[in-house]
Amino acid sequence: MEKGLKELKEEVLGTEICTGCGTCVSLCPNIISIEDRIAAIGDCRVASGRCYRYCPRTVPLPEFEDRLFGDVGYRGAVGPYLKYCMAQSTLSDKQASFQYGGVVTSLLLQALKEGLMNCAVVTRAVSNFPFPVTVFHPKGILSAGRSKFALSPTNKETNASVLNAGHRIGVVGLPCQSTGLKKRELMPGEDAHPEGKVTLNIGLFCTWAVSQKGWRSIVNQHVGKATIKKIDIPPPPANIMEINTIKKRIVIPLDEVKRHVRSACQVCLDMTAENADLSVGMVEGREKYNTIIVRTELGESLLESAVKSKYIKIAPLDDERWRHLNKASINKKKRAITEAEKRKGSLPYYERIIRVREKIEKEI
Amino acid sequence: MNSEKSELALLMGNEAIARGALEGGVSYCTGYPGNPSSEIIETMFSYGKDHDIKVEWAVNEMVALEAAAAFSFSGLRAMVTMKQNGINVCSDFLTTVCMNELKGGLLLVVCDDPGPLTSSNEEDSRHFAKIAQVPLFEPSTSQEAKDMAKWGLEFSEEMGVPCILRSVSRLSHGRGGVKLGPVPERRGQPSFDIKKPLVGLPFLVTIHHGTLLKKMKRIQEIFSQSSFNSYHGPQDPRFLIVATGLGVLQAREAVDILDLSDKVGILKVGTTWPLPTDVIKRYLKQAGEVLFVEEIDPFLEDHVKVIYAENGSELGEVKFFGKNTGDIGGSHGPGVGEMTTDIVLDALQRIFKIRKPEESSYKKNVQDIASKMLIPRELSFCHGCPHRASFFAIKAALELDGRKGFVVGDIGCYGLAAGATGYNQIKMLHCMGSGMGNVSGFSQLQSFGFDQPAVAVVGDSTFYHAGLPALVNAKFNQANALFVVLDNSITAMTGFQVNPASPYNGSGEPGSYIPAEAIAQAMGIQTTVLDPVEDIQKAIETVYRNLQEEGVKLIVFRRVCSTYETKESSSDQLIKAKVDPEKCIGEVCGCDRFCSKVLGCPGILYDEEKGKAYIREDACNGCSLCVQLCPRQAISLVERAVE
Repeated sequence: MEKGLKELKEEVLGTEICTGCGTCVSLCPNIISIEDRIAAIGDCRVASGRCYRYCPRTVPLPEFEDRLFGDVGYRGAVGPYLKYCMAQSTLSDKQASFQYGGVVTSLLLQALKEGLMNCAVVTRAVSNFPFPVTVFHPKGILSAGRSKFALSPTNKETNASVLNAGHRIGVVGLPCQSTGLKKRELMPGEDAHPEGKVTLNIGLFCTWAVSQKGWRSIVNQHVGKATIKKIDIPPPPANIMEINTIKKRIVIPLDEVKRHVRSACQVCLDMTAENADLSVGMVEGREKYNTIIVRTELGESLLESAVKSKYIKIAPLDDERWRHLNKASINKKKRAITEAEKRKGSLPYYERIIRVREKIEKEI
Repeated sequence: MNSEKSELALLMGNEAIARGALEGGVSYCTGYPGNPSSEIIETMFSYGKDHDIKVEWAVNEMVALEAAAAFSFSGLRAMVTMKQNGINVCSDFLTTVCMNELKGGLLLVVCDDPGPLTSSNEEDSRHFAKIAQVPLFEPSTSQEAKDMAKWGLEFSEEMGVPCILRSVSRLSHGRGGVKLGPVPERRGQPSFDIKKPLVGLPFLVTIHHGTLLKKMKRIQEIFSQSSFNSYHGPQDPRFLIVATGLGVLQAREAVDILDLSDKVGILKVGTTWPLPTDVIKRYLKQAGEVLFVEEIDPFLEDHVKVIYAENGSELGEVKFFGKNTGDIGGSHGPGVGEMTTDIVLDALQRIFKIRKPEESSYKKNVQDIASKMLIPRELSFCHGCPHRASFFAIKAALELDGRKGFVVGDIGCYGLAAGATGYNQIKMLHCMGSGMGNVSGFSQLQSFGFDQPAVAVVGDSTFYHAGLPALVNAKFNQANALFVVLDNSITAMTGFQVNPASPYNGSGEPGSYIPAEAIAQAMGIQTTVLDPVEDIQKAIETVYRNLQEEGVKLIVFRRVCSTYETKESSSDQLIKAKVDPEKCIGEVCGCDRFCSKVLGCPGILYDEEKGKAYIREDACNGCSLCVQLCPRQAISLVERAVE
């Protein structure tokens, strides 16, 4: 059934499952956003709206259901993939700042060089807050390294950037944003105007993100006006968040941070950005490396050319780590389903993800 | 106007009151603007320079009356004007100042708004004459308005007590012939007698109160001789109409239409407090049936009945028809809405069991023509009104905030935001400045589990009038309150009167500008000032961010009233918005007529046939709000030469 803003408001927008990904923003003036908060300001009468179609939390048109994963459909612990490996950027620490292996930065540089994209939507930290920007040059790409942990409505910027004819955009997003982009690609919907195109969808592994409001209270309480250089959550059993500013290392109990996790993240099934061309995350115990899951042929060819042009070094990911990653991903799905059952909400999203439990159990 | 010979002028009631004050030798006129009273001070400004009269717009009615009292106690005459709500504001001073002997005449003019056009209540201000125990007059015509204003100042001085002149909308704004009288020479040197302190200390109050009541007894006797009270009709009428103000004219007209002039007498009472007991008694004695015609409350009716109760044995049996008995009233019931000749006609027909003659074709013709000339219009902000952007920003910010926040306002242009033009944002509206006090209270509900943010909006003039104490209170009691001053630099709704947010005062003197933010900052209140139209995204963000902060916050949305700006503009180039039909996408996904449907500016219309938006240039002042909100950048600004 064709649905629009009216249904988006009933099923997602303004409810506790809205991811704040920004996919419905900048498509029209009826939906507005500040930080990671999104709201509808007008009552749109368009029966079939792109806002509803693209939203990662809505039901896709039936003909596309088996081509969408993560929150939308179940296809194994980490979603479909062609291959996976461990990788590392060949750039030095001095050339750029990386969270782990610097793979995303290098993949973007390669995509820009070979013309797969002519600009990228990335997330930059502005006064310690994540902010999506479109960048056109290697310098811009280099300025956006490192994880931000607070949600940024990346796809709001994607939608604004796409309005420019000729833009061929590579987007780096969280799993929800990656899903939004995939839905946009599969079900573009009517729009009579010259547009650019999203040509590359890089997804980041994500366990959860904190709200910007929550992030503000963390920053106000622990960081103040100092500029954050790096944020990390060391592996268990540390149970802390580490914030490094130029001058000092700040340690915050992880439970305090988790209080600010967006409630939408608690019902998210997607840890590994299952709808991306390539998904990138950490490697447990190997701080200078990333895990890459290659999901599409486009992603595969980008990785190959990045290796060929010596932007990236790759190595196999061992079975134990791969199993561990799969387990972590399944655990996120199970936690989300349990939470959805607990909430007893009437939202269609909950009903849909609760049904995934059967599939997981059948497989195991 | 030449004061040497007696001229006849066609004057609005309010102009006549101003003229009366001029002829009554007034030295000082002040007041707070409010429909239907505003034109009195405006007329006084035109007299001020030539006649050495100090004229001011006050910041509220209380300070106006207090300032006027200073003139009176120094021996000069003063007039204070306001609408009915204003008398509530100054009532504290009114009920104390009357305890002291005035030196110069002090006239308080209150204009009531029955069947309110521009009021948030339907208050009958006359009760305050009884509460304060001061004389009250009600004119019926422009001529009488002038006469009473003049005489009121003189009488107040003679008796040493403030007097109230009560007008109503139709009298204030209707025009009538007025015979002009001479303007007196400037009065003597003012001085304050420091040997006679005027202090309302408790042990003196009983003495002063007693003196006042004795004075009122004497005034009652004087009123029984007053020519403002008169009788028209047959000698010894069985049926008497007791009327005051415009009710006198309505009664006369109704009696005339029904051909009852040989049966019905009309007693016109011009001095309604204290009532002229002897006159009333004289006519009650003759009448067996009495109908009351007056505006709003049964004030005259109640007090005539008191006179009857006190003198029953000598007055014989009288049947009363009035608002209390339900015999006279319009479609909303007795005592509600404006009194009209039709209502009097209905009452008389029921009482006399007669039928009104057929309506004349004249009335029908007028109605037919008028209905063709008048375009049905909803209440709306003017085109280019900066409040539209302010409310758009507030609505957007509250939606983004997501805690079911709401706006509390008060009266003024922006009260319209309770309707579609302000996106139905105002959810509570009472009196001047009330929104700010309300919001202080809403924020204190937080400790009881209340988590909806309430935002107070207040106009610039209202901010100074009644908002300041609320601001101090909120800060003092550490409220979590967001106040938004909608500053368009002028008191717009009442007709562009100046206030402390204006670049100059009523006399045109610059240097009286007191921006709201300066006051708030001095109190240590976090303050943001911006033009909501210039950057709507920034305006939305500002409101949103302020909603997330603790403590008292003040946002000043400042941009000059668009209608005032247009009126004052001398530019030969006008900026207008223009829609590029090539770029406009109309109803498809990505817009759905956002500019004409959601934004709701009267300057933007939609061509259903072409499926494109377009601008009505005569209703566009080029504010650029739509330019910023159009998702396809289809609207741009163009320059047009003034025709």
